[in-house]
Amino acid sequence: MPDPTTYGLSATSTVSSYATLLGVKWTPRGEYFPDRGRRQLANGQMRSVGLPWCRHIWDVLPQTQRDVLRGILTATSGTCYIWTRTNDSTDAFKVFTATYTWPEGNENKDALKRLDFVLEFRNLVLVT
Amino acid sequence: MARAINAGELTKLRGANQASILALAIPTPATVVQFALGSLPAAGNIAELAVTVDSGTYTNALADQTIIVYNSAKTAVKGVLGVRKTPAATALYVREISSGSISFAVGDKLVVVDDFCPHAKHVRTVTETTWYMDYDVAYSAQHSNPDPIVCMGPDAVVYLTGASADVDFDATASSVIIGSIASYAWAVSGTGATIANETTATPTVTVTVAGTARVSCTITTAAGASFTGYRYVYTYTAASPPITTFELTENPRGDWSQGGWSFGVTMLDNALKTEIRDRAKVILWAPVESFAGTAGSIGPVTDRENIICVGWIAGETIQRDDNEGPVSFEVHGAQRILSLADAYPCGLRDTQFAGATGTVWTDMADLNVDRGLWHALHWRSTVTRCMDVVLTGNTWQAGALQSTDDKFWAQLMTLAQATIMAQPFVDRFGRLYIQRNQHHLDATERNALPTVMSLTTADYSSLDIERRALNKYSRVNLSGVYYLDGDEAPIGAYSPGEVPYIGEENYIQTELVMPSQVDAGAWAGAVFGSGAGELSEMDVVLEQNNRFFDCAPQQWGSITLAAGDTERGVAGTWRLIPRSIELQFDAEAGFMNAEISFEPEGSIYTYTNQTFPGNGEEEPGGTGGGGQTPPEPPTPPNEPPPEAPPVPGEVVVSTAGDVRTTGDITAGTPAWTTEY
Repeated sequence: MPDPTTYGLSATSTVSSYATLLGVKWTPRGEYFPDRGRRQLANGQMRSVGLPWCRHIWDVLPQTQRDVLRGILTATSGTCYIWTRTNDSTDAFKVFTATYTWPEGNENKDALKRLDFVLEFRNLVLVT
Repeated sequence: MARAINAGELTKLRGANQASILALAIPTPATVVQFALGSLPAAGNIAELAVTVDSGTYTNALADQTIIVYNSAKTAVKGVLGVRKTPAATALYVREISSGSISFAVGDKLVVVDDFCPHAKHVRTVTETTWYMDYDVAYSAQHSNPDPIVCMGPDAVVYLTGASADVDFDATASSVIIGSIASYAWAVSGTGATIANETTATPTVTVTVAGTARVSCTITTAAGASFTGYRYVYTYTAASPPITTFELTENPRGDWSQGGWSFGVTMLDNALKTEIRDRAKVILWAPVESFAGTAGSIGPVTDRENIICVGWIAGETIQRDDNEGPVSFEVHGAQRILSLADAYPCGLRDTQFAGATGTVWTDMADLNVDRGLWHALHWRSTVTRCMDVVLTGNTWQAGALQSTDDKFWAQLMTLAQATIMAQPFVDRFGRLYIQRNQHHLDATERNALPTVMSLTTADYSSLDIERRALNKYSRVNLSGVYYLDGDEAPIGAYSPGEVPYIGEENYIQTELVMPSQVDAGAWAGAVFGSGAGELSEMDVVLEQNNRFFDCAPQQWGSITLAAGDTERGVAGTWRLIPRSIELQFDAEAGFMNAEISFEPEGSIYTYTNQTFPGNGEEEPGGTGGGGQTPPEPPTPPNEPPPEAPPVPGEVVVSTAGDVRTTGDITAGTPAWTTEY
């Protein structure tokens, strides 16, 4: 698997960039969260808990590109591989296995487009 | 035995980003052989069915495997039976049932599946002196040359990501109540599964593909008796994944007072009727876990670190909604199934006890509680076939033991609790421990137990301390019979002494199996001490994925508090006994943590010997006083009259054919009354 330098997605370990899947202009922006919560300890310190998670966000996504994503993420939720950007000092892209969640409820449709389309990826486990 | 958490594990537990992804293993057992019912059984009790073989090899069926009874079209399940012994071509030997319990029809399919479940085996009485275990097992020398107890470790679950994975098994906890173990012979069956070091106590099973591998361990004693236990390795892969679409409706929780663990599940899909059946085995486990970014699980049992809780779907708790799809059910450890299992009254007597012959199912040499428990577990249930069993280790002899409870778990409780105040508990791996109350152990026994972990403020978020305003007991009085090779004497002890403290309850327990007077006094002092410390309970919320604590096997936690740690200035160091553990799972965060209720260790208090009419002031082995002998207190002028020494309690024995009682067991020739 090549080192990722952009956001990407696959149902298998062979991840493709969104640029390859959807076209260069449909690369999303991403958000990365290093944990799912914090617990306060009796010594006053905080302990982060849970696996990292992230979101890939498209303000606008054409219907055809959305259908490409749906062809990869076929269930309500399942396992996939992603390339995403972390919070470390270099904001590096890394490969993770993840549990995806397809957007719940009505997708915000507008003239063969999706507005504010968000894919959420939980349980990120670092692959490379 | 429990173990201390090592330094590496402690670093992980105190690190960041602890996370778990949970899964369920609900194995669908493979068909071993399928029979068709050839003719209807006669009315009455059924222990054998006339059959023909539909498919499979009938000699492959193993004793205690499960039989599922279907109608001829296999569209409906009529009932579940157990294999009593290896079938013949035209006869299927089933665990005895009443003919009315299953509505048989010629052509019904009887499918033997590769599955073992704990349940009771019945006793058949032909005459007053002719008894059979499990329908047709006559007494020969089963009590003098006993089968071993095969402890081969829990089932294992593997999430296979590479070409193969190794699973270690360990049978070093196996035992035999008389004699010693001479040899081990392990085997494995299942596609792609192999075993190494199969004649040692610690072999390794290697799995290479998804599926189920059955592991057997045959242990032979030095006297030539042997017994085989069975466990399973369940292997999943990305292509054959476990069930992950479910919710935990009740967190896994183990409670000393409940005898084991349980949890609740709602399955969101994949809820096949063939999987979700009464008494189906369910293993809650974590295929993916991580600590500070490092993948892997940690836990007390090698190669079972990923297991969270093991149990069986409990009857009458399955709730299926055909419109909505989800199915909810409860999973309980074996304590639940055994609590529902009917049992025949169980009684044993020492071979030197009056009337004993040593040649019947009710007699056993050097009878003690462990030997009585072994008889019940091995000959009156299938527990030793499919579960590890660790007995108390107590060797105090008993002239007679009996339980007339009508349920199997209640019988175990009576045999253990009414004798030496021990209790059965099934741990979260499905292992049965019967152990004395940890408070009641003497100092040497206590110090031999491991301290799993010393808790610090880096481990927990909250600590609730319950202070004891009043002693639980004003006085403890234990009494019973000291018995050794036919000789017996009443023994009793008071703690803290004949004069009570101020406390909630004057605790009296009679008819115990007593050790020497000195040990009996220390026992009474320990029972009193269990309710006399400054603190009665500590509830701790650990903010870590810590699954090392359990109510069994016996173990300690510990904690040190400085006066400034709590508003009330409670200070000191305590050893702690885990009494209940809830593994709280936050599905949103993917984080599991433990909330544990501990009892602080009690001290061993002073005692005085109890005297009985006709047997003097002091009795075997004791001068009274233990480690903290108090001066004899003056009798207060308004003290209530001393409690009359209890008459040694009514003793009940089960002889070969009847059950008899006597109220004067200490007499040279007790008068016996036949009860039934």
